[in-house]
Amino acid sequence: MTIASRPAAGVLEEVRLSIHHRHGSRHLSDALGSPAGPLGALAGLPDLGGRHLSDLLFLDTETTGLGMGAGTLVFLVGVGRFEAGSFVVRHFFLEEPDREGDFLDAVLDHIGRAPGLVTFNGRRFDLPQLETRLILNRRGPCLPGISNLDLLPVARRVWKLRLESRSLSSLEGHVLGFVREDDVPGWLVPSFYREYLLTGNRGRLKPVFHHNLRDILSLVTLACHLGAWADEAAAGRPPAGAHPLEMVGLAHACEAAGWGPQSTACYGEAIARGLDAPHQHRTRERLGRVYRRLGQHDAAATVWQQAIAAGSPSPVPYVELARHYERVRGDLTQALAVVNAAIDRLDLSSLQRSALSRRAARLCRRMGMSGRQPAY
Amino acid sequence: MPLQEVLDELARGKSARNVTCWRTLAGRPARLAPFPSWLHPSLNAAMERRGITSLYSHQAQALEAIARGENAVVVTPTASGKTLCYNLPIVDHVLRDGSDRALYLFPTKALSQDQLAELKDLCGSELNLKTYTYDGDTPRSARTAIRSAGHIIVTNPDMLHTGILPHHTKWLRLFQRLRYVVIDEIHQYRGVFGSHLANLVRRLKRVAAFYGARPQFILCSATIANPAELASRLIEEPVTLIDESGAPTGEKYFILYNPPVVDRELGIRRSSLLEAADLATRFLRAGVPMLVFARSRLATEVLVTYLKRAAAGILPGVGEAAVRGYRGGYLPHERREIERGLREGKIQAAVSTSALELGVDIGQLDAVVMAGYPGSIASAWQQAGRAGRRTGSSVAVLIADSSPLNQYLVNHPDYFFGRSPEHGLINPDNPQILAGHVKCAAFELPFQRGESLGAAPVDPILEQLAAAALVHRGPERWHWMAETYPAEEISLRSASAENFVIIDVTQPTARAIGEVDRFSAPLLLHEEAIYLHESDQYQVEKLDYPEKKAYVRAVSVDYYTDASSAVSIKVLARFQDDPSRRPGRSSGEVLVTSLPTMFKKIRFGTHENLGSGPIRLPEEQMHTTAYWLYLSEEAYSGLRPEELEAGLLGVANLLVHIAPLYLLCDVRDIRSVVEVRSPFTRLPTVYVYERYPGGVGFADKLYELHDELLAGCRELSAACPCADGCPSCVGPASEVGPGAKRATLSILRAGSKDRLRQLTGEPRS
Ligand SMILES: [Zn+2]
Repeated sequence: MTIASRPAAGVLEEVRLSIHHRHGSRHLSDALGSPAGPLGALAGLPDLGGRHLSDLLFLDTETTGLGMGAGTLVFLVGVGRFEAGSFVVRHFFLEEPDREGDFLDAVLDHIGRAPGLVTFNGRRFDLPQLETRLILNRRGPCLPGISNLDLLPVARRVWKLRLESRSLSSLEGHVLGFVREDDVPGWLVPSFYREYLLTGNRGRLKPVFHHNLRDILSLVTLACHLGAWADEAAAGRPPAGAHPLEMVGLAHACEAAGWGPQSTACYGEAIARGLDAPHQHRTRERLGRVYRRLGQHDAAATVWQQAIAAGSPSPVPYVELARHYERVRGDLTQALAVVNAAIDRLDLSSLQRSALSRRAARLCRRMGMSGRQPAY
Repeated sequence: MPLQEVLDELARGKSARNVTCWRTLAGRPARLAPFPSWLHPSLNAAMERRGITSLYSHQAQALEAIARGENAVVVTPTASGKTLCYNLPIVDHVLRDGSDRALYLFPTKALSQDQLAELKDLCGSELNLKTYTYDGDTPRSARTAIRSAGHIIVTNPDMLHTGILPHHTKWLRLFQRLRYVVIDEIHQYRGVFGSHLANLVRRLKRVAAFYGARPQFILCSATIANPAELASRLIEEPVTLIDESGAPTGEKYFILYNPPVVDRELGIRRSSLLEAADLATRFLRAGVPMLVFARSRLATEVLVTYLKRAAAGILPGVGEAAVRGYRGGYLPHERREIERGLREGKIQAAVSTSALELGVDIGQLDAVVMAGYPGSIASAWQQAGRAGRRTGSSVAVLIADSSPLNQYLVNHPDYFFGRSPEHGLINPDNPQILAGHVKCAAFELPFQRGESLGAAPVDPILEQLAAAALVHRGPERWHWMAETYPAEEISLRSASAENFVIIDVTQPTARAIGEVDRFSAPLLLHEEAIYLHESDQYQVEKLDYPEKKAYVRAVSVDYYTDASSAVSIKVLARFQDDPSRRPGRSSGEVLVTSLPTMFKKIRFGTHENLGSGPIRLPEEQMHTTAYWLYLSEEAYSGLRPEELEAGLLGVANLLVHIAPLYLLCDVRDIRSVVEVRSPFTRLPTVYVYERYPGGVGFADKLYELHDELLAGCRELSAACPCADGCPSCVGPASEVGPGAKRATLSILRAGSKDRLRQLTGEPRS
């Protein structure tokens, strides 16, 4: 790692790392061969096809307040980029708030030509905050034109069941194999800048720069991790190393991105790898519904039958299966049998019970019978 | 005609002697003016659809002034079509240029909702105009669209303060094209609230200027003494006054009614509530549609119960449903339903708290009964204005309670019917209020060196904020650098940042319902105190003094609490002095030290003392402004020391109660202290100080009004039928001391004789 001071206008510090640098359980070079398209698509960004993750800029900001608003300054913008065998992180630093315009020009100049940014919560925090500063300095609004691959929404879905917290530091510890030592907690960062403004001593900000550098390196490895999974999932191959609960999360992310078939593969694989009963039931419900939406009615029916066979305590598989018999197969007798089975077997709330009874009565009426009849 | 029957009975029956004044206000035909030729054809069509074929003269004047690019303040009575004064020109403008924007400010969310309904009705679906309310209830999902697409944003000052200005970059579209700002109900923006609002307007103009916009202001006010002055102080720009209503009115009777004395010695009168109930029952029996206003939530409930019972007996078949409460907290559609009921005659009587504003259209009612003076002449006229037919007669009856102010008013109808004497006063440069908004403004945009916030220079404040490490001083500009969010820390309804928070624990989930400034907290939030919030009563269960939190629970009691404290006052600087008056007058800056001692429970209406208790809390200090008067030696030479003290207390009591006639303020906004021998004046002195740190301008106005105030005090105490002081004049003898009334009059008469001598040039003996 080499550190250069004031290598360019507006850049206070430039950290150059070998692409073989190891951050947690990955090397930065992992990004070189990783296609950006699938992860981009998973994050709702369709225009990254043909790019690699290493073509993107990795951006993270530090601000003077934890909330938003016109009075919160962005005082540090760290931008990491792959350049000819190195990974270079440039720290743009607001040395004097009066010269914020120059600072922002330097940042814009650097990020404006990139094919896209990678951030963690950039959509709701870093970029709106930067946009506010640009507007206040009569340079904005100008950021909507930049593609931003925000990893947070994807990470939230993927690790929703597996991890209690989906913060970057939690992901580092549980997923990326990286443990932060002597790091500044995020909520303390603003006070470091205040102290700098009061004393003029930049040396005190070293821990903040270091914090920002590590955030950016984690962004790279997190993008690689998610990128690899997205790539496999896109090809219909559920990733081998994922925990079943991560697999459910990944399936959920696929579903949210409109990847129906890919999501069914992941849901199915998660069930196959073994989930505890409650997750298994819930996952089957999701899987069955996706199949139904995809028009794969037989596959859906199989899932509902499996759910019932596995002892699902919820009426959903019964209702769905009854609907299937009624609407797809036109087999009212079977439909009624399924509804009656639910009424007989399940421990139902009175609301659920009356809904099922109404359904049974309606089926009976359609069959020209009255009241509840045993199924033959 | 049924109304006439009730009036005849009132004029000739046994209650006739309680009527202190009966005025007949002549009706007036409409003064009409044509729609201006420039009005957009679709607006013309929209008006025609609503059956409006011409404007009232004041509406036409407002439209012209606004078309000339002037700021305007419109002062007109209730139900005179004031909203068209701003809606027409603004909608017209937006129809021509859809990228221009307008911001409407109403003091409450309920009024914003009313306004939105009005605008939607005017625009209909065919005019492509997007109007939205933006307040705490606006769903998060809708906010982005509102920010970028709304032509007219209807909001309240608190939301502008914490939700819009600090995030102005998200409101780019609004601020870049902000063409009009409407501020309605400006008579409500006086004192502390008004001083905050003026600073909020300064911030709004500053942010708009950053985006290159310079909005035109349209303001509306109820009748007060100085609407144009208040308006131009609020926006710091000249305004055109439009105050001659062209709306038609029918003949109207205005009756001032004083309940009979039931205990002459103690000066206790029959409860105003009972009198109101009796009178309302008479209207009910005669089938006269009416509104009844009461001063508290409890009084409202009592009246509703009473009238429902009466209705059940009088109106068989309809019964109780003919009487409805009309309370705060009702949703707009519930209010609309009651208003429709009143309009269509299904509801015959609605009982409302004074605090509640009514919606835009409750139709034409025949009678308004006010149980107690609503606190200001402006609001009394607003309430009375709810009765009134375009043709045919209507009546408003004001029933006095036994407080000195009520008593003064019913006995001095000229105050009521003359030009409104109440001044809306604000002091945008109050140091604490200004400093708070400088923080907010620095958060919103960096300050250039030498820049000011409105008319106020701010570099000295910024120096202090820099010393406290809240702002950073750059070579050219000041930048906010603290992590905190200043607007969240500043409440527009109180002066100091060090507020006590009031937490309602009635429901399982506690919620904050209000704040009280630090100096007043011991007096308003001591344990067992009854705290009034939007006319709901709460009792303080626990005051956590170090944490500045008061825990309260909703109650329904027939008394309020009044705390007393040992107050000492120290004059720090004298701004004005005039020893030539008798008594002499001064105003200046003071340090008030207050040690709470005890509280009393006082019954509503009769002001009886129902018991008392001690308060054990530490003393508080406050810098504020005060007005004081001091006696010359000859004025008190004939009085024994205890008589002198009683007399001074009597004068102080009267002053505090009379002052709200001249200032748009509450009796609680000012307080008094007497000193038999003041260390500062070395003479017997009565101080009236402002209860808000730094003051909002009351003291200076009282200094100016010195002679009128004393004349009012004199008349009130001389006319009071009590033997030696009562709650309706100088205070009960048991509290201010025996001989108080005589001593008070002697002090006040000495002044008037002296004044007479001065006026006639007769030499003093
Ligand atoms: Zn009296």
